[in-house]
Amino acid sequence: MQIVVCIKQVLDPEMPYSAFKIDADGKRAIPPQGTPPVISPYDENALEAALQVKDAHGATVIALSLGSKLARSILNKPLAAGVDELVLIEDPAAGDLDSFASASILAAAIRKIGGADVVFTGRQAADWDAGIAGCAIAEELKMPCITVARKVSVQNGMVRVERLLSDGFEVVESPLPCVITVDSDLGELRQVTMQGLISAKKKPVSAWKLSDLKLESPPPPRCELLELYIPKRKRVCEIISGENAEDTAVKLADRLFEESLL
Amino acid sequence: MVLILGELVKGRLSTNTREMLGRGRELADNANGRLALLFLGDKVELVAEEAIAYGADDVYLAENPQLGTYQADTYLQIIEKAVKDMEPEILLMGQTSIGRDLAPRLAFRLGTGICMDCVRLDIEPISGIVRMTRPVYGCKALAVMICKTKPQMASIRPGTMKSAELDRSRKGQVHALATDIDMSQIRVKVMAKVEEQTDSVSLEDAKVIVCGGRGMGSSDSFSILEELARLLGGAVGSSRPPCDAGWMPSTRQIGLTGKIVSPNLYIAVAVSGSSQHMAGCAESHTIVAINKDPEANIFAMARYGIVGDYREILPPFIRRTREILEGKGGSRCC
Amino acid sequence: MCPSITRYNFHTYSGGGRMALGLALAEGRLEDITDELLNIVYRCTACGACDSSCKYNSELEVLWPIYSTRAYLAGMGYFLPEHSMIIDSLRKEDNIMMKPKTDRGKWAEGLKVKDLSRGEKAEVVYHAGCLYCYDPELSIIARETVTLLQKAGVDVGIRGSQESCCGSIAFQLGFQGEFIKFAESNIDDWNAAGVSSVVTSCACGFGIMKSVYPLLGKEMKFEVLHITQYLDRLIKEGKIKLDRSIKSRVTYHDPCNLGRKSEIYIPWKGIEKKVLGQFILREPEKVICRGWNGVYEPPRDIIRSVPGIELVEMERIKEYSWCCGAGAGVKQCLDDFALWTASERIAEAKSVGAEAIVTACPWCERNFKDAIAASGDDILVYDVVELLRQAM
Repeated sequence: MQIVVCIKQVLDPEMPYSAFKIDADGKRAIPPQGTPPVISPYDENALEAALQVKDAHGATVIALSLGSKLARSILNKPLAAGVDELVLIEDPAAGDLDSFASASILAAAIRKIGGADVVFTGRQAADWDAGIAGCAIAEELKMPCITVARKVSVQNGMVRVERLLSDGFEVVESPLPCVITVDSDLGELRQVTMQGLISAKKKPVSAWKLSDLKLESPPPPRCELLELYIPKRKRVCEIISGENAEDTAVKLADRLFEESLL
Repeated sequence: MVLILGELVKGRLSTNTREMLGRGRELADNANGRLALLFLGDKVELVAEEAIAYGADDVYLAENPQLGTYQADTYLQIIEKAVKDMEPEILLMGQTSIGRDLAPRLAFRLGTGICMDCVRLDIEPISGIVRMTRPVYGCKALAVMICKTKPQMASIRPGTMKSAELDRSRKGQVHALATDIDMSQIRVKVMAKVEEQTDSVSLEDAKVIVCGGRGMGSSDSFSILEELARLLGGAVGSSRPPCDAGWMPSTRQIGLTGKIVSPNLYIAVAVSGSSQHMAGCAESHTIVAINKDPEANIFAMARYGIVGDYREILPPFIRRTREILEGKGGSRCC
Repeated sequence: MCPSITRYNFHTYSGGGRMALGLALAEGRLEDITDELLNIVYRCTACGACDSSCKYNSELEVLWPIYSTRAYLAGMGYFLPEHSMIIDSLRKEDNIMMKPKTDRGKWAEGLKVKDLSRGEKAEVVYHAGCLYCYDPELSIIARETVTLLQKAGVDVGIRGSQESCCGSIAFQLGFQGEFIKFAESNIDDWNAAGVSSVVTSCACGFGIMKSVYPLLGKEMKFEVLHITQYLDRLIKEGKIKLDRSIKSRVTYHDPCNLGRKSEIYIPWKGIEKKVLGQFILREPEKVICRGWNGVYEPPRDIIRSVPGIELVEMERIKEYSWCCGAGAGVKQCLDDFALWTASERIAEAKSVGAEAIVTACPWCERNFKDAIAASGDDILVYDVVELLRQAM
């Protein structure tokens, strides 16, 4: 069985608050110093989903990433975690792509890799939070798509997925091949070990350009970005203070009661 | 024409749908156009009446026993055909469980772009282009985008737009849609549905929510939050870290990828107030924050706050609240 | 004095070489960042010897450009694979030892000490540090420290499993974003706990708390002290009685972070005037920390107060101390370099006829012990606290 996991390198969503800045003219976030980029957290859950299927049924897992400047030490992590192969599409033209354009390039890469039974990806990327790419890849490849999976198992050429609903979950089944987007409920990516790091050095890494995918240039964006800004917030918080914790707590309760909030 | 995909909750139009009808009416009026609601389901009788009362000029109903439970391949077939026939300028649906699953695929098939999790729509009167605003980077920033292809699509975040007013005297037209379903296109099958057991109020309905964050430290510590919630007749929620750590089930998660809530009183205990979390609770009437960090982001959004350790603050707070609620108000008068 | 250039003998490895490297990166003259380059950058324990040396007669800041170079590389995603393991462990489990957070309080099992994480209050909080919490061989020293403080009548408490890393390794590796989060969290925790002093055994932690925490601009409502400073005070106040005599010839190894690196870095902004074409006058006066005011005497006083001890000094001591080789991630990632550096120091200790090396930092102790085990030497290693306990 062959599994492809699409992962995206993003600015660390857990960077300190003060480090997040926007370049208004360039309409992009500025990479902060001292905080390296990371693999988008939901994509790490997708890697875990793929590795769990590999543990249970045996499979070749290929991690696929697209970008204009990919950091090898970050993208080495999937190999160290147990992924068998890494395919990178690194091209200066792949800088600011919208979700549909990324999806079409990733789909072309998946076709070139060939033979994918399951394509995993995170439910949304930690930069644009759109949640479009996974579904769009499925549409490009004409595969069924199951979103927000929290548990995945494969049996007899079918995949059985528990997917999140607002009040619980539902169990769905689909024939292979299919695309599955993964939610954090599935579980965190397993810890990387020293043996993993050592064996990662021997695993194959392919680097492709858009021309290798027979694409001259990426498809134009379907939406136009007009503005990107950090909204200003006024602090109107009334900090309750007192002589000690008990006094402060009592004051808060009384204040809320005054405002008819209790 | 402005077309809205409607959803029902407990047999009535969802609050989100009514909000989209409210804003949709204004967008439609801008171009002297019509506002239409599209609904798919197995029992649709009362939908048309309600939709018209909330402002729809046209209601398109697709009724079929197979449409009772949402299934992407089925819904997509019908909606794609309906939209291609109707050619609306603007197409809206909710950023809901269904919307998140359906909207990207629909946009793909219609060859147009979409603004997911949209919180604001502004229309340019003459060109009819809609400026769609959405939070990005975990809600740390806002992006404004436009789409030059038709229909202009957006999935609307619940609680961000003003709901339409009910007016039972309004008139409108009801149209039945053909529901020929090509079974060969249906690949994903729903086998079972499991609802999470909740013995307390649901987060979306709760008037009071007590929410715990990473600073709680362990799953046992949530019991004091449960005590407070019980006292105030509310529900207990969680930010993302406790859910990831397994202290709370993810159905209790409030935030960008969890529940969006708007209670009267939201008490955030040991919650740092990251933007992903604030996305879930920013619409609360009053936010009260207890956090050891005086510069925690939560204080930028809260109305009242205490800087300190919740382990010291909550027990006397609960005691005093209990006194007040039991009528022993003490020296304070209302 | 720099272990790096002494071993590798190529200019880039020295303090000056590293400044040149950092400048080249900042000016964009280095486009291709190879593994070889990263190897050079990270083969440095950030010990600050180059810094202290250059400040002997000039005003060059050498240590902070080394930190900034690492931060620059880390920000772009260039670091050794072992670093990502350490940082992941820090993010998930609040420690750099890649052990679970829930086990952090295990070292104190059976000890009757106040637990501040359960709401108890104390005047002094003892911060054990990641290595003492998780290394079974060394955590005995932490237990002895707490018992010692209690015997001396100090109102001490610990944070048990809620303690988290001081962030010093994250900072030294260049992951400054991560460091800021941990530093701010620790400051908030200690402020909220209302303690008047934070006493730590970990010299790395102490150095970072004294030199970098104040730069965050957060109010620190407590005093940061190293255990040797605190114990020295207690001995001088007569609260600790040393009865037993230990006949031994020992030497004291100054940990870098306790000594020259524990002085605060003060960024300077003002006007510079050149007088007579030669002298530079600054308005306001620039305060430069040359490492002269590190914690050098308190540990020595403690050792000297032990009856029967003969303290001999090595040649490279105080602010010119030779690093043990464990700092800035070198112990975790480049163990061969760490062990070589330690072996040099051990040879120096033996050359002055010492039977034991006494130090005040768990990382120094760990590295020396590993080097001795590897070489089969017969010299002993003690922490200052171990020595005190033996003398009581």
